[in-house]
Order: sequence, then C-alpha cells, then structure tokens
Amino acid sequence: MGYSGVRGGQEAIAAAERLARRDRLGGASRWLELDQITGRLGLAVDRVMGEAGLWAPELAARAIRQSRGDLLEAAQLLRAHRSTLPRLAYSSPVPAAALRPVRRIAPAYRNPPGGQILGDTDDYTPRILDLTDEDTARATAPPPRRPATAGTPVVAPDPTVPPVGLPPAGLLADRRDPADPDPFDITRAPARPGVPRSARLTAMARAETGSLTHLWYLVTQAPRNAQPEIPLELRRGHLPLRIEHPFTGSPVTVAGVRVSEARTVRPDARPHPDGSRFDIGYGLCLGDNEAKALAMAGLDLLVHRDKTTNRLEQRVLTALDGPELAGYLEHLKLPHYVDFRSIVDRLRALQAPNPEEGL
Amino acid sequence: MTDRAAGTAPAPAHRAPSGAPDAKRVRALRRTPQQSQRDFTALLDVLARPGRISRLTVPEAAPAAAVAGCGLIDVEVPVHVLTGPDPDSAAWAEAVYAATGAPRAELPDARTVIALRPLTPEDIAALHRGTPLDPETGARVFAQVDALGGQGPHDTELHLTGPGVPDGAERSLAVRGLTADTVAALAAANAAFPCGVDLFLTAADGAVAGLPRTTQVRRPGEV
Repeated sequence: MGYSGVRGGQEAIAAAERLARRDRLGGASRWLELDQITGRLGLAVDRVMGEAGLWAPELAARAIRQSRGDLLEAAQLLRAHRSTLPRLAYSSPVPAAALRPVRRIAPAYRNPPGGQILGDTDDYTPRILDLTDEDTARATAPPPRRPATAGTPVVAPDPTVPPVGLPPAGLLADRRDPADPDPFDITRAPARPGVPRSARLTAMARAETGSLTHLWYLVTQAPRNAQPEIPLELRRGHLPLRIEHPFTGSPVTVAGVRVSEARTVRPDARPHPDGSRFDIGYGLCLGDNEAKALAMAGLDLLVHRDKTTNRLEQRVLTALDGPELAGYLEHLKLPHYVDFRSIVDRLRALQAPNPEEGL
Repeated sequence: MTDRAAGTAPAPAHRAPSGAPDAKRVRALRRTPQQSQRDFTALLDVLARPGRISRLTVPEAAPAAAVAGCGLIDVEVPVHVLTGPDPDSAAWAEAVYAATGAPRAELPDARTVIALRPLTPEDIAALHRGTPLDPETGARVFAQVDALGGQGPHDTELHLTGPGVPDGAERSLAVRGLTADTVAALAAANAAFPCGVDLFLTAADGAVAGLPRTTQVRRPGEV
C-alpha cells in the first residue's frame, strides 16, 4: 500500500527510497564487507538468525547491512527470505548429549561432572568501556583468524564434558509426555493457546530477544513467584544436524549449528501434588544468546506453573514475535485518515446537544 | 492433503531408489532460491492478471511445466505427474520427484499436478477442488501446451473475464494444445467457488499464463 497522502504519489515514494538507499550505501566510510559483520558482530548475527528461524550467517549479515543495524528489521528480512526456501528434509531428533560445548556452567553445583568450563565470556570481569587508543588496540590484537562460518565454532569444542544431569532422585516433578508426539510446526499452523509445549518452545526460540527477556523479568519478579529460580546448567556449543538417509534410512550428519541451551529449576512450595518437588524449564535457541536461552527456560517453567489461568501462555505465544510486533508498529505509519475522521465525527456527535432532550 | 493434525510434521517416508533418475534431468529441474523466487513472482503476476503472458527461464530441453512446478514444490507437497506414452516424459517425471523430494500422490490426492502431456477432461474432473472450509487445498496444475499468444490457424482464442481483468473488459489468450472439452471441464471444476483448481499453461519457450479458479473462460462462438 502506498502513502496516498504524499504529494507526488509514486514519485515521492521512489524518492524516499532513493534517500534511504543513499544513507545505506553512500557516505565517506569504506564498504562494509559481510565477513566483517559475521566476524566482528557475531552476537548480532546470531540474534537475527535466531529470531528469523534460519541458520545462515552470510544472509543474516546481509540483512543487518541492509537494515543499517536495525536487528528487528533484519530478522524480518531474513524471516521473509526463509519463507521462500523449499524444505529439503526433516531432521531427526538429536540427544542433548550430542551437543559439543564450548562453554558449560552449572550454577546449581559446585563441582559438576566435567567441571565448570567458562569458555569465552565477559561474565566475570568488570564491564568497562574500552578506551584504549586505536593504534595500541590494533597493535595488541591477537592475529586474525578465519571468521566462524555456518556451524563451525570459533573455540574448539570439548566433546568429553558430560551433561550435568537432573536434581537428586525424587526431587523432580515428572513432566515427560509418554506419548512422545511429533513437534508442533508453528510455521505451518498458528500457535494459539492450548497448543502443546513444543509449540511454546519453538515460539520462544524465534521470539524477539528483548521482548522475551522483558516478559520473563516481569513475571519472575512477581510476588507469587517468590521461589528462587536456579539454572541447573547453561551450555553453548555445537549441535549436529542429522537426517535419515533417503535411501538407507540410517542417520547422517549433514550440517551443524551453534546453539545456547539452558535448564532451570524452581521449587514449588504450594500445596498441590507436585508441591514438594522441583519443576524444570528448558530453553534452546540458535547461536550465542545466553540471555534468551535462560529467559526461555524460565518462561517455560512459569507457563507450566500458571495453573489457574492461561494468560501467561497467551502472552508467550502472541506477544513475543518480532516480525509480528514490528509489522503492527509499522502499519501505524500508513494512512489512517478515514479512521481518524470517523472518530472525530463520533466525538463531535457525542458533544452536540441531544435534540430529544429539548435543550 | 493428508489427514494429519494441523501443525505436526509428517513422519519422514523412506523412498526406495526408483530407476535411478537421470542426473542431467535432475540438474535441469533443481531450482536455486533466486530462480524460484523469480519464477514465483512471474507466476503470481500471471495468476493475478489472467490472460497476461510472462516468461520463465527454462533450461535447454527441459519441459517448462516441470520447471515451473519444481520451483514451488518441496518435501511437503504431494505431487502427481501426468506422463505421455513416450519414455522421455516418464524420465522427466522421475526427475521431478528426485529434484524436489516431493511425495508421490495419485491424481485425486495431489496438491500440485504437472501435466507433461495434453490435459484431458477426465484429468480435470479427477482433480481435488478443496472444500468450502479449506479451498486452498484445491489442486494447482502446471500444464504443458504447444504455444501461447500465437496467431496461427491452430490457435484457439480464449476470452477471459473475472477478477484481475478490468471491469467490463475482456482479455483474450491464444492457446494451442488445449481442447474445447478440457476448457469445458475446467469451467465445471470451478463452478462452485471457492472450491476449484488453479491452472498454469506453459509453452516450450517458457511462456506462461495463468487461469485462476475465479476466471470465466469462454471460447469464441460460445455464449
């Protein structure tokens, strides 16, 4: 739909597009290469890939460059591109033990099996803006290495780290579904309240990171959720992508992705059948995005707990999708003069004296 | 469409290697994302403006109907390929399945039908037309015709009216290789809107035209 109120119509729209293009491509600075974005702005690339639901670092870098760094817009561009791609196959389930971690911490344990592996993180150092002058920074930088491409971790993974496991026996509420249904595909049918857990997890994995962490923070801070939430394990690593061979039927690894995974527990002291046990929440998302994985695990748990009402489930399913909220926001900028005029008329009619009252 | 619950991915079906499709044919039909996006735009345009002829880039010797279809199907779309008596079209049919991984379906169950031989009224009558609640499950047909937009003595002028054709006007589309009976069968299949079938006509040179289910097709001399 065009902005029909603009003088000049099509011409004005074309000129507006030219201006945006000039801002994007013009200017005195050097051309921005894609490998600079994938290599230096890796977390932005991961975030866009996760919110778009497509593992494609080069394409995500293109989207970021095209949107001039607006990650919400970049995720929308990549999500739209994703919808044009054919499905090639269905991947087989991969056990959690197949993840090769580059970072694995277990805040709930002092000495987890395999030890705490800090990996690459700034979590334990003060957050101070680095004001080293450019020349010194350049001179002391470690030698450049090939930027990470699809599925190859920058840090070598350690395949020997065992998963932390579950809380002591008898302390965990059983949330397993013995029927083991096929996962709900939210790209095929809309995820609305009442859908299985798999749909919620997928929706959160694609959710806009800021909205997801905000909703989690809002709910987890509420007085009714006063019990502490403790992550059992937080991992980042390389997960193989396996499919069944079309002819032989045996599993083959065809690619890999980097993921962040979190498992969170929270006790429930309220009197109900599982009241004296831990409840567990799970989060897994594409790329290096620890905040998202943790918030996702926390929300998974809280939605499950939300026994009296499904309001939280509804918010998780309908209020967190980036392209959806951006689309609604953007549409407000389209012409609304008919709506506006009709409201003005209605308000005037309300204020006008009512002839039946005989004023 | 299968009867599986909405939103659940179907179990992967193992396909036995069937007669080792010709690698050259498979390569000709395998579309890159850019190619299928371009095809999609062209197909959408001709479907939105019935009677307009657009052009697809078709690799040497490949049937245009198969090329156009392959850009839009994947492992989730049940496909049926109508083949002629010649072994060549059977080989192209195998290549369609091999290049896309699309599941094979019988003609009444197919969501997409690729006709490498002239369509018959029986074919049209057998197609799935969707249901009033799910009209989008009606078949999408890519049919090979001899020529589009020509002016030869064997060309039939079809007069088109309906959405996408300016009000009060009538567009015409010259087709060679579509019989009068087939056109009548198409009108019968599309009589109960929103159910019906959407038809793309493709010629060997890559020319493509669309006849959506909303278009009324009249042959000259008919009322």
